[in-house]
Amino acid sequence: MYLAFGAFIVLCGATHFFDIWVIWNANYWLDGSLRAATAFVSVGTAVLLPPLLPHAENLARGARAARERGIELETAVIDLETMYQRTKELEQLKSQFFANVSHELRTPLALILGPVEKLLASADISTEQRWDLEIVLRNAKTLHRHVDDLLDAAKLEAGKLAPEYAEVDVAELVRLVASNFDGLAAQHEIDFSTTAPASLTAQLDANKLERVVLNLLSNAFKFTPAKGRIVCKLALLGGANEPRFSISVADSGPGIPAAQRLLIFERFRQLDGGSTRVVGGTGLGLTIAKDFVELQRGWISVEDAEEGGAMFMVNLPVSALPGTELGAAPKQSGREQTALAREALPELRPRLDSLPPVSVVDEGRALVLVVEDNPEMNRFICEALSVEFRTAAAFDGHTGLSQALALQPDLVLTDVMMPGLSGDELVRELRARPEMNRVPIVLLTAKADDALRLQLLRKGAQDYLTKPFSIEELRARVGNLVALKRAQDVLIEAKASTEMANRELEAFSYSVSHDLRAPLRGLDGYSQALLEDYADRLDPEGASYLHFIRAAAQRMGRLIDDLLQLSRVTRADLRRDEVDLSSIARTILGNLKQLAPERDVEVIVPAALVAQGDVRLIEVVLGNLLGNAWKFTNKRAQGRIELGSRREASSRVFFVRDNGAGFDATCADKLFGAFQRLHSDREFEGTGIGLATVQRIVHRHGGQIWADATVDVGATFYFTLPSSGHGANA
Amino acid sequence: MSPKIILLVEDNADEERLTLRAFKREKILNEIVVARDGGEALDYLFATGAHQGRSHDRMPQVVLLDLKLPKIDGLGVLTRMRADERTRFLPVVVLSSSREDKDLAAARW
Repeated sequence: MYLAFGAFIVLCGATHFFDIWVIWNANYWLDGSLRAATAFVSVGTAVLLPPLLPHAENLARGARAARERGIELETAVIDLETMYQRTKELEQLKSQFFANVSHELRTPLALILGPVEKLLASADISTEQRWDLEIVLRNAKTLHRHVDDLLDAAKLEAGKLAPEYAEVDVAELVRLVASNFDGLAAQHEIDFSTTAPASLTAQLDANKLERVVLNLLSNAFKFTPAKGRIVCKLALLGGANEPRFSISVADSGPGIPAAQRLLIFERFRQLDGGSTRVVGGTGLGLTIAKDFVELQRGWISVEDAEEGGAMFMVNLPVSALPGTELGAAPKQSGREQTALAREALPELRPRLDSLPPVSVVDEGRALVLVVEDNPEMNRFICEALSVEFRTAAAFDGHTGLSQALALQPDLVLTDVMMPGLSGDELVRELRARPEMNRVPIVLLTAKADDALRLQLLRKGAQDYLTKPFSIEELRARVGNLVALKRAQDVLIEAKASTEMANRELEAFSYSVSHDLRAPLRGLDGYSQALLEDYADRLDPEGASYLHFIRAAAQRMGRLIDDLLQLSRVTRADLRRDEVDLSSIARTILGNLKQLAPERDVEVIVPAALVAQGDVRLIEVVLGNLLGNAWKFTNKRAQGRIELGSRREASSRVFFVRDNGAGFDATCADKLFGAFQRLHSDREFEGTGIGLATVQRIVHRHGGQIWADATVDVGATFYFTLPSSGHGANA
Repeated sequence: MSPKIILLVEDNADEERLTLRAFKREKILNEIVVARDGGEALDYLFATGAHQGRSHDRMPQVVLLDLKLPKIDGLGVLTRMRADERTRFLPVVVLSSSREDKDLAAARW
């Protein structure tokens, strides 16, 4: 294309020069052929050009885009630089913030520590007050140490912490720091040994090295279980170029997985990062140790110890770089570090045995189990609750679980972050056990972790409290839940005793049904035998007496039957079936008609009256209502009995209507009481239990029953039942 | 030809007499063996205990069984009968005034 275009331009130019030349030489043939060539090339160009136009446009657009992209890239680089600057500023700000916070915290802490120590020094305080003050002191010191850690970390970050070199006997230093842990080792039966040469002089920052050794040993003691083993070893390493020495601390604790060995030196990092925190601490100890070692041209590493735990290894040069200014060895360092170590100890291993026993007297009061790993917090809560409740304390999740199972407390109050079994796992474990299912659980969370709290509430915890919490709130919440649980206990007991009573009633009914009937059968049977076998020897009066006996016995039998039915109606489990009232009614009325074929009764039963209910019980309802209608219409020449239904607001109302004797409507409320009769036996026989039974059945189905009537005109009984297809509550 | 024996299991003497009278009135003249509790009934049926050595051809043709019996009750007797090859298909008429569903259900085989 470019070639065609180029040829066309060249030929055009040539044509014009030729024109001039032709004017002088008049060689038209040459001119003509040149013009022809120009024409051909121009036409060719014209043909080639259009398909290439979009391509050309794209080229132009591409160039524009590239230029724009270049600008964008430039902007991005500028942005990135800005961001980097800002990040750096933020880093500095953060360090500054740490430093400020730490300083701000130290002042009030010092103001707490001072007076407390002064108070403790004075003789006239009670043992209990001393106990409380010691807790304040210990916690203030722990906080103080955490603040110091933070401050050091901040200084390190800001590069403000230059090492102060001096000639130091490292062997003596290690022995001195290690000796601070002897007491702790003895207390927990930890086999703690230190090996070091008699003397090892090196040029380094003694304070910083002491801090390193202290942190490593603290760490080892934190993680080593009772009766474990910790070995601290100092050794001179024969280096070819530069002599170096190593300090190793090996423990028999859980060790550190290879994948996490780099992470443990990061700030605020603790393994086991979830809520199953094994030990307390700021997570800065190892970071500081690492930074202090690296400041002095050393390195720190971690590997598996022979005992199975972790082994931290510090490697440092014996001599400082040539030309380093050496100061005087700090004399006071030993004392300072001893104090530091002592402050660290109570936090490492709170002595549970030193806690005064918690009350477990007064059986009548509700028992609250407090599961909290911080012994002071645990004690604080127990004491706060002991005003109203009995308390029991557990200091980790596993003990909490076994105590809960053993004591069956009225409430479990548990921390979330705990060694071994965490609070959320405890909730799960407790809820998995049916016998613990009703014990309310209240969580103590320090975290502002809404998601975890929601999750735990869903898992079956009843409530939570966020630390710090007020004692009043704690008491109120615990009190509410305990009251609720106790009320539930009472209900469950009542239910159990009701069930017991029901079982007894059932046994009673069973026995009545067999034992009362047997003598009645004797009465009736032998009367009948007399009437049949000795008819010829009985005068009419004697025979009539025997008939009275039989009638009375039979009536008694019916009474027993009716009473049993009444009690059975209450006891039996309710089934829910689709019940065809129409066909039941037809069967019942058919049977009645068979027993009294001489009666003229008009029966109206529409097809397909259907309801939800227990077919056996609804048979009883219709049997009684239709039986009554049949009975009370027996004085009518033309009886009329109707079963029907009509739709009302929310339910279907069934009715049984007759044109019989009726009753006084003012007595309608007496109708459904057991043994209530509105007619004398002479008029209409009956036991007076039928309608009571009917009412119970209708009520058990969740329905209503009522009646209206006019004397000598008739009666109508209305009842509602759950409609077909709509389940009612049992 | 072996006699067609009816086994009546009934502990109440009044009931027993009424039942025997009813048989007589209805001209049922079969031999009637009476067992007064569940254990005795089973002894007779399986020729054990007091009825050890009972002749094989004196197996009853039908059992009239009261439910409420001392020692082993009627349902216990029925269960044991239905579990044994010799009496599995022997007709049993349960005599009871009980309309308790659980009795009816338990006797329904």
